[in-house]
Amino acid sequence: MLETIQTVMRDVFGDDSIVITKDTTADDIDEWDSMNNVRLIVALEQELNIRLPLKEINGLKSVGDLQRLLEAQTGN
Amino acid sequence: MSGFGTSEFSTKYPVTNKLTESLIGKYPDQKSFLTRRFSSLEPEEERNLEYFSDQIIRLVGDDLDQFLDDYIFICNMQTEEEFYFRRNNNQYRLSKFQDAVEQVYSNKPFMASYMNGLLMTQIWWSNHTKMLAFYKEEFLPKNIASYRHLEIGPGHGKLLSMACQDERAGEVAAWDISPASIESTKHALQALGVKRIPELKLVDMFSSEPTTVDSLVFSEVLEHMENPEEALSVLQSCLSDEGRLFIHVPINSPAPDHLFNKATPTEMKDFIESQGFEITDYKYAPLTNYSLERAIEQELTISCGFIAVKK
Repeated sequence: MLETIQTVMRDVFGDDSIVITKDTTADDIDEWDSMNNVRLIVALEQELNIRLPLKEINGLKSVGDLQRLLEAQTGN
Repeated sequence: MSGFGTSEFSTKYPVTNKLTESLIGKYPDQKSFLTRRFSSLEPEEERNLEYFSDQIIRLVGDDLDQFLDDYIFICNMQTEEEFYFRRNNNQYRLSKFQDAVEQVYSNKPFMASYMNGLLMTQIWWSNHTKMLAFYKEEFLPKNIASYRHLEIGPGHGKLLSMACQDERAGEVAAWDISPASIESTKHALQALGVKRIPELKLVDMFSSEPTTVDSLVFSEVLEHMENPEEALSVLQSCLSDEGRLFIHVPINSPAPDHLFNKATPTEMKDFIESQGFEITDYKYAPLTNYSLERAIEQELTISCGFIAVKK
């Protein structure tokens, strides 16, 4: 799942050099602002064929949080 | 130009600096966005930013704290609307005016927060600042002498106040369909120090008496129209042969009461021109901290300013 997040993030943010870990936060990546966060989440939803609840999205603080949420939603 | 956080910025833009520091003091998460926003200014922003901030601080009065909260409210609300927009093939949630009335306009507390938050975006969202500057520098000064002026949907009164304070203006008037909005505009104009209070009339533009003006303003209204063609037809009928129309309309800008959209600025320009107008000047301002090229490519919010005459 981490690799999926990274692939989608590179595509959405338009930056193939992005490397993420579970501890990566929006503060670590210049392109990761609120607008790109929306685009990232929607792209991941489309990639994984899921829909994340807004309340859960608002609570995300790191890539690790996002990974856990996606895995819970996909059953992985 | 040294950006926000430097002594040069606080000296050159003291009111802007005060407002921005107030927001960051209460909501530290906003610091990164606003530091980037004010890291560089276009020339028209440099010339006008402090004037617009001064207008805002007069309108805010003693309620700055509430306005800061309402700015965050509008940011969060916009994020929710963006999720809907991006998940649903870039479609706005509503398409019927009656739905906007029921869900938005009839909810007074919501509307109060919405309008307060929008006011603060005029300096913190660069696209809004640029549209104000476009109106102030490219529209009003180039109207004919003693122009008859009408604004439909004056809102906070910022644009209307500039016309009222223009020595070159003749009769100045404004229409709105909401009695509450009319009262709000009246108080706003007084707060802005306008001595010559214009005629503020309760009018539904779609059932208005014939009128002719030389300077017609339709700012952040077209995106709320269920029938934009009909709206533009009414504007056509109001404009004198020498008259000029100012339209500010955002694209790809999801909001609780936005109904009408086009995918690109060119499509919006073409649409307006298809309704009997010739656009003589335009300005496209992308959302804050994005280039126009990137905003077009990714179908992000772009504020479109048009100055038009009758064909």
